[in-house]
Amino acid sequence: MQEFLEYAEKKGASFTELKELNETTTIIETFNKDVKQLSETDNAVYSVKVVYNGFEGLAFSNNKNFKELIDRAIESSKITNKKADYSKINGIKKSFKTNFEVNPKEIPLELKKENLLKLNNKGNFKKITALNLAYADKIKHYNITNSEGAELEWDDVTTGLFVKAFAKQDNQIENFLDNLRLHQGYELMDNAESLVKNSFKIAEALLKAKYAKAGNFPVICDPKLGGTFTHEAVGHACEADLVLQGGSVLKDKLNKKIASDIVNIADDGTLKTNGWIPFDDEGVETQRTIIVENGILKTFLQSRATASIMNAKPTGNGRAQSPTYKTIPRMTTTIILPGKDRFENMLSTIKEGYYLIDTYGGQVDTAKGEFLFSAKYGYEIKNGVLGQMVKYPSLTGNIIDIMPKISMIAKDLKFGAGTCGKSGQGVPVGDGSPEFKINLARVGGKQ
Amino acid sequence: MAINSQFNINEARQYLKSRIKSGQYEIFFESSDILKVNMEKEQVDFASSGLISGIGIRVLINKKLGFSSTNNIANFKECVNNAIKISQLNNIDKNFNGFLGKQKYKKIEGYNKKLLNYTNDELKNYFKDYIQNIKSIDKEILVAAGQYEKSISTTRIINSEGLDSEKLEAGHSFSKDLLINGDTCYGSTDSSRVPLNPDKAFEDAERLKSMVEKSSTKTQDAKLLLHPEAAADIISAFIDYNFSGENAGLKKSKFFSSINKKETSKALTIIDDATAKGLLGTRQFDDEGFPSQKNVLIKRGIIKSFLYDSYNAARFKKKNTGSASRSYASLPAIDSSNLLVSPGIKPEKKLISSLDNAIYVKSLLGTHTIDKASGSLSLGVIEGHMIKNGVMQKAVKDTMIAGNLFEIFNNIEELSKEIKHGGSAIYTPHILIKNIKVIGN
Repeated sequence: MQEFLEYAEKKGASFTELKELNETTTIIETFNKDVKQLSETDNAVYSVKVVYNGFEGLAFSNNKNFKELIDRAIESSKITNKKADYSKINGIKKSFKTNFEVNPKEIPLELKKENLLKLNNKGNFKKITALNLAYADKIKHYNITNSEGAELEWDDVTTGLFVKAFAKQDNQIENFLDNLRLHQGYELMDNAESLVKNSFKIAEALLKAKYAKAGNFPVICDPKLGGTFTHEAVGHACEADLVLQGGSVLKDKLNKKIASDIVNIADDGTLKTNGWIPFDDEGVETQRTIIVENGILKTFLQSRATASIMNAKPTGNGRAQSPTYKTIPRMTTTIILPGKDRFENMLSTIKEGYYLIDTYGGQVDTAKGEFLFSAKYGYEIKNGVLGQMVKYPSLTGNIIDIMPKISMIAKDLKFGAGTCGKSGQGVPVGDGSPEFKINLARVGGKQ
Repeated sequence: MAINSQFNINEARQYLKSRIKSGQYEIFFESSDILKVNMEKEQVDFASSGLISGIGIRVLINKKLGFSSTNNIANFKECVNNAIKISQLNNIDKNFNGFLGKQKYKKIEGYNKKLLNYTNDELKNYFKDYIQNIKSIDKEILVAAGQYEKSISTTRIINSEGLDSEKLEAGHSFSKDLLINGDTCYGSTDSSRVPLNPDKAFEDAERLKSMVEKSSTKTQDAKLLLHPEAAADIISAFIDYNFSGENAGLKKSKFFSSINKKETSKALTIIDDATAKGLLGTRQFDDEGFPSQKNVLIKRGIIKSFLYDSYNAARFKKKNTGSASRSYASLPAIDSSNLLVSPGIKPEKKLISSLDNAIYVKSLLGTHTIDKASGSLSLGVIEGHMIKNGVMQKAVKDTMIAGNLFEIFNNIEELSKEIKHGGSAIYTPHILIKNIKVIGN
């Protein structure tokens, strides 16, 4: 790689970054006993970013021809007319390897397929009519070399399972989706059976669930809903590029109190969830960034470019979907830190309210702070006790209004996995929280 | 970058023949030259240029299909081995007849020389002229964000049945968000096979300015005039799902038993035509090598045809309509090419001035939420104006329209004379619908 850095320097580039990304992916999808998709693909992309005459240019290809890419990147830089400005960092030389027990590449495709079809065992779940499963594993090799002396490398494995169970009673059909995705090997599939059985259980239970009552209630969020809430309602509004564009309701709130005293929020790229990255796509090693401390907004999430504009330190949040895209501030794993309370104590404080569980997603307007999530399901809380199951309750509100109303946070942190979409780029993320109580929130239901 | 320079076709053919004694194969090669440019607050802050190629290999052995793809083209043997391995693990598919034989093509071009030779300097001048034109209407308008993308791609399809076809396609698009007064925003996308015209800025600026002053609407029934952009959105939702030959065959389409039956207004004629000159969906052949043709989907309200690729044509015993679409990394699926809606007689200015108590909708939010089975819809009006006594009123705010997709197409009163590019590869006039529920305050 040294020879290419020298070649770029000779051509007049003041900064050069070379990337290699190789991915081998296996996907198997089944619907009951049918195999809907079976594929093994192998893809590579090589990219070069240069700063030439003060302007940034990028070039990429599936062919490893760095000299041509350098020439192309220099040509691209001539279209740019905004001066490139990155925070200075020292180049790091480090290699990372994802730990795994069973290498997915050593399991024959035939066996993976059979194991997936074996999960299609409805057993005593008489009301389950269909099961849709999608399995994927990906072996990735990624390295970044740049003229600041960075030599970063990551040998990674991710494995994932997606489950959709359908239940039917008379004319009523319900379905329940769940997933598991981690930087792990095939050993992740040890959890497959329990994931599927739980999906059967909930899908059947949804047949008897009623809708929630619409209104303002105290609410307990489970870790998965809580994690997504933190990512969507707070995390995005803390991305420095949105703040700089004027599109964040938190833009003037640095060092101001935005949540109750017990709320501490972090974005942590080192946590080994789906959102784990040892280094970001600009060569910055990741870290735990405390976004909210004791209810006070402490920092925004930075890329090198936004850090330079804001006179802040890069936080390891500069990410891109692939080396062919622009790097912008993105989250990694966003969490509410553990508190001191217990779920049982939270319950006992609620006369009439809801315990909301997991989510299929939602929408956020970061400029206004308005959000809406649909939880997957939940339970009524009546006089401190969990009651009837409710289906598809929604949680809506405004960040500024809701954050001060978080009054209790439990001790055990649990994580969820997702893909975050922003500016046409999808990146894998994680999120999580302990259970927490919101004193008063707007719950939507059809009752 | 031509296929020949990346791997030896004869070597590939030999290898496939040696591994598949009796069976068929297809090599789908795709190479794209891409330019992506990002603009923020009128400055270009990111430009990325790339060359990506890949191959997809399909094999059909003992009636079992196998597919694998890679962009590590020198390693094509492993891709072939993977495809064969996958076919061994797959189920027998009685439906698949095999790949197409050699075809005859008409001279149809999916590119324009001007775009093939479009230089970075020409692009910079386009950006400069676009911004200048915006400012000439009103200095306070900011081109807040823009994403430009250009793609020139070569596709070559080779199979064991004698097909060897190559096509070139080129197109580009610019999506921009204009902002005024810090809070009024207008977004639009221009796309074409020829260099984009910076004079579009004048229309964009006027449309932004027409959204500054807004007024609430009452909940009411009104006529609905769809601007070609909103019309294209609705047409896409209507056609994609209901005119897929697969959905028709599986009885998922509303019209699965409606061939030669009248199911929409007599005023409506929609044609899928990949042979039309210079349009975004124009190509010589589809992504399996089947020659492009004109497919009449709806003629004067009567359902005439669905769209098929070779697999679904064989499966449902229908004729292939040349509607296969794929990339090297995916399997073929049915997709429309150019959708052309036949115009009416009245010029659009006259149509607008003839209306009273109508809502003129130019841009909609949420067409992806339309219920496919029932057609029930409830959409946000991003850009729209009430029309009273032939005059466009202020832009509407917090307004939705609600109704039913199938009822909309059954209640077309008339269409305007001028056909416009509504977006993606849909070309349509203004469409006037008899009645819609407007939901205001």
